[in-house]
Amino acid sequence: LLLVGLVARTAGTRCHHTAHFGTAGTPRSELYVPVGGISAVAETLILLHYVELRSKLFQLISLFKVREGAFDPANRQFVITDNGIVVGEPSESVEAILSGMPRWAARTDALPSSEDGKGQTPEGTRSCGMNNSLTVLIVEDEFAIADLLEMALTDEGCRVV
Amino acid sequence: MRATYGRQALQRLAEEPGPDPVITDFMMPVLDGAGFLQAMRSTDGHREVPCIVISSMPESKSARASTGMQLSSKPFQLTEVIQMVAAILGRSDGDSA
Repeated sequence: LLLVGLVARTAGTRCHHTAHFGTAGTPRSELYVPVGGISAVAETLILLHYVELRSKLFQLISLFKVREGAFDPANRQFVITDNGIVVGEPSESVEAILSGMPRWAARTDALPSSEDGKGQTPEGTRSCGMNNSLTVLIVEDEFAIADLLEMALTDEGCRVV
Repeated sequence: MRATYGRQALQRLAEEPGPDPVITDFMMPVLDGAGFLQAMRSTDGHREVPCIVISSMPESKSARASTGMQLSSKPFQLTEVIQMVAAILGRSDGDSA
């Protein structure tokens, strides 16, 4: 797992309407800023990291810090394509990424209800929301985009064979 | 179900039960999206499969009317594609009711 911290627009440059943009890599999987003291002057910290799932590498992006403001810390997959950057929806299907041992999270909404048993799914498959199931055929020669689509559709509960 | 080009997608359709929606790129090797959609539409059992095309190719817009597909332009928003799939699911529910 590789973590890369990006530092964008320090507080000292705000009044000059300029932005400094720096990068720093870390060889370890722990969540830490590898440049001492930089957090005091950085206004925004962005994390870029890789995660290996199903023998594939996925690239994720997430906000680590935004000064004076609330922010969404969700991990989102992002892909650089010939047509630009595609940023995915927050992925709740993968957890423990920063532990170095990511895994697919259990879908609590797919668990059978104790009252009616709705939502029960065969082992190894996922059911689509709204008590239905869809099998989707993805035809795409860019593997990164196909992976992004598959992850998003799986997140939504669509059946992946 | 996944395929990396149109010809392979046709093979997948022949080997396995039909998918509910198809999400396809337009510019692909071996058999492009237009050829794949045309071949799929001429195959029994797959004429009515809903299609979502994700492409930056202007030709895909002109093909939209002839195939009845939905179109999402690259770079695309995942939410838009998910909403299209959800709309297809809703329509299927309505058809079966």
